[in-house]
Amino acid sequence: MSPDFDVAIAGAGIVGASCARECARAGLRVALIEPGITGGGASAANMGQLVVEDGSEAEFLITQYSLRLWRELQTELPATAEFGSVGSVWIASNESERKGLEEKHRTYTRRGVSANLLDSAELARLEPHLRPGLAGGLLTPEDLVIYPPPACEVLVAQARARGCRVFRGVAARTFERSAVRLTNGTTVAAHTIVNAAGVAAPSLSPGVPVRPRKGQLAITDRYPGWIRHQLVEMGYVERATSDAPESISFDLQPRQTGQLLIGSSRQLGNDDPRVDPRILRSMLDRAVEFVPSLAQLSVLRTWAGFRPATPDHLPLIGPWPLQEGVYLATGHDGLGVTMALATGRLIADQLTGRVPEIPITPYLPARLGEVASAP
Amino acid sequence: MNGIPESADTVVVGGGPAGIAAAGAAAETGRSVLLVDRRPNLGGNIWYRAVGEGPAADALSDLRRLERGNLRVVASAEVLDVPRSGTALIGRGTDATEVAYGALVLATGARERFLPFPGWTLPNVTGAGGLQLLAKAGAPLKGRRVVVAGTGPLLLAAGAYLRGRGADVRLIAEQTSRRRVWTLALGLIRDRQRLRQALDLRRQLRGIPYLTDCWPLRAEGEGRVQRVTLRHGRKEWSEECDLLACGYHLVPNTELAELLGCRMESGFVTVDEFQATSVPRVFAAGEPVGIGGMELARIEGEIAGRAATEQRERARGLFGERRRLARFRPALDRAFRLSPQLRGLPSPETIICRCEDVSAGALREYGSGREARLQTRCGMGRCQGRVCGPSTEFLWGWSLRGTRPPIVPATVSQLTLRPDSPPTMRQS
Amino acid sequence: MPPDPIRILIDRTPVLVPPGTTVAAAMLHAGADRFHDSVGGSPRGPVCGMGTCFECVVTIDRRRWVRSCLVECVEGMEVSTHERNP
Repeated sequence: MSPDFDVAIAGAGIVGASCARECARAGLRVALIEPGITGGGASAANMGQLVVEDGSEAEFLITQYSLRLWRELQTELPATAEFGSVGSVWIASNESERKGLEEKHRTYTRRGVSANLLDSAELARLEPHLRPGLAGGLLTPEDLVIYPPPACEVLVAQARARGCRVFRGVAARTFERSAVRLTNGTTVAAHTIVNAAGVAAPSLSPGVPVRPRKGQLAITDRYPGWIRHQLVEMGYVERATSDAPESISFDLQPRQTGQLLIGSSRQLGNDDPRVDPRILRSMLDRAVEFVPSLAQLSVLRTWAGFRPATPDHLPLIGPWPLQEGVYLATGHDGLGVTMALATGRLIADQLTGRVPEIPITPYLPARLGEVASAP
Repeated sequence: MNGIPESADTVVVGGGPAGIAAAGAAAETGRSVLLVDRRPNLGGNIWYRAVGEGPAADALSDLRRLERGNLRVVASAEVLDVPRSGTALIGRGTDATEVAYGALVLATGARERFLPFPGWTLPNVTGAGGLQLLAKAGAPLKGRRVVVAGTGPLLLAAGAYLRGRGADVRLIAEQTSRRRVWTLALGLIRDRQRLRQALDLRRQLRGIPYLTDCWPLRAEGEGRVQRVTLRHGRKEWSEECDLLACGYHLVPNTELAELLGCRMESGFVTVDEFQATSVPRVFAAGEPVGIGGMELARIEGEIAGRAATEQRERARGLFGERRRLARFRPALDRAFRLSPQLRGLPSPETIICRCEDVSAGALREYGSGREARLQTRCGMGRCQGRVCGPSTEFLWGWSLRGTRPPIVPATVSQLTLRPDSPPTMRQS
Repeated sequence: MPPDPIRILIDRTPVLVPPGTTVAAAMLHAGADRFHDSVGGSPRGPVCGMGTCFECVVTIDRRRWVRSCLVECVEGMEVSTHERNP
């Protein structure tokens, strides 16, 4: 008996929604399973940055590809998705970081990403609220920002328009052979299963090397024009705690509403959803070091979210060797929104036998060898 | 230099009748007490001190008690967060201090419930209690035409006060039915004090129409409210007015209780006979426990203050009186239950979330508060869901609010405990 | 003898009020009922009178988004409504 669906996707976050859309567009019969709300997990909690990474070739290729797809999607996004280009300024506090900026500049230029070096004076002119005495900056004017939940809704809507069936308010409980058993006892029969459950991925696919990397953010009231670009520091403040590393860094983003989004923090292995006041204070302190006038601004909300982190900082996009018929689309760490569209495309490519636009080998779960086959 | 001490045996949050009673009771032990209130003066709402006047008469002895003992009052201060068990982050202006407490008494009172209807966001559409408070704070009323509307005993108290200050109160529109009001009134016969209060109010309001089964359908005007269309049974008509004072009874201020993780039921804080919440060393008194009026709040505060300072036997001695005063509470709830017809008031253009300007039409498709919040920003503004939370709960059964710090907007300087130097605002 | 009135500036216009008057009441006293503009540009004024609705917000001295119903007038305070903000 032929299953009802070609593919069942667990999780309607930005990655799962993208997979649903691409698979539906490729003519597959898709089931999308979401226990909560569309884009309600890490997809709702992040800063919405869309960046081209200058790290490894693999990171660069997928982020560049995905950003191209985001630009193509732009006209289909509602105003509430706040899709916009404010550009980013990387900030060096000292000479060593300033050299790092030059390296970054070279890498971006070589890869065709627009980037301009700024000396101390130019940086101050560009962003008057930055404290004096910084070593320099690097402006990447084409960096984009989005508010993901409405974008997620659009992806799901487009998937549904092509026949995707959405199972809301129910979660995948276990993966079986060609079927997903749901928490309400029923099953969804599908040839292939895609695990896009983010930090919950290992609970459905035991052994998946994804751990939560907790992040916290704060958002201010409306102060339009206070800063003009996203400001990010080159360094970060690392604290080694008893068993899990944590770090905070300065990351300040102006939203279209005029609110300032203040980040960022990383606590690997922490799954406590409560806002940690110690980390919050650290993060805000760091931000005030760079933008002293931030001290007087009113903070309306703070929250925490969990990035699905992998051991090698690359996502898991492809077959999961330990479960037949199961693919992973997770492990994007802090780049889930950026990589979501490319991930959807690469999953659909793999399921339909299409030739992907970029090499997929670096993202295949099987790459993690020993880790993948460990119980 | 904000005047907030770094520790106190008992911290009382809220300086209305419950908080004043709790602080006074706690101070009798000689232990250190800190009483904070967001306003520049004590009294909360019921005992709000009008400009140029002294404190409310029935507040005097309670206030005098605060002068004894090791008690500090810090006004214009709010609890922003409880970062660790036993430590409250209290903000004042743009400064904040972490205060270590042995016991915490939540006497955070209640606020008015506002239900949306077309034109409700026009300037000079205020709460019923809201206009009374603004008037006490110095807003001019003489000769201004006021329509009082909504539901609850507050309409009568507000109407009487406003009239007493020279306002031309055109009518009081009470949404509940005539039968319910009469049932409540008859129930008062046994309670001499309340009966006296009610008759007194009735006298003060003589000549002002009090219409039941009546509510505003829409407010209209250029830049401010100039007329309100009301519905009374099958009748509809418009009243010219300068102010529309409209509020639908009270909802408890439970943000701090929720942040602390106190057990809640139907939106109120669960307490035992000693006013103790489910969180150790945290007590609650007054409206957050149940909407029941000033005397009940006061005695609950007294019990909480005693229980928080190990005066349990003296607290027990008040249980009888509390029971007597609490008898009225269910009757009050029943009398002013909201008519389902009020759910039909908003049009698609009616603003539901005032802070983010989100209209009813934009919200209708969502099945849950959380979904609506993420997709439309409803509830993400400065009031942190204090206005649209209760209204969307009534309209669509949503639960909009989260419990993350800060529970009231706080500056970065406050959250990092930096001094605001030089100060960005003059402070009294 | 009544106490001396307090003088504040509301959008650069001097206003005299009795001590203890809140900034919100002072504004209404001066006939200024447009405290700030909503996100969509509509005029807004105080509603709750108790610091929970955040509709009475104005800029006081250099601080934005202050609930004027919770602040007593202090001699020399400079109050600006949203539209006058830089």
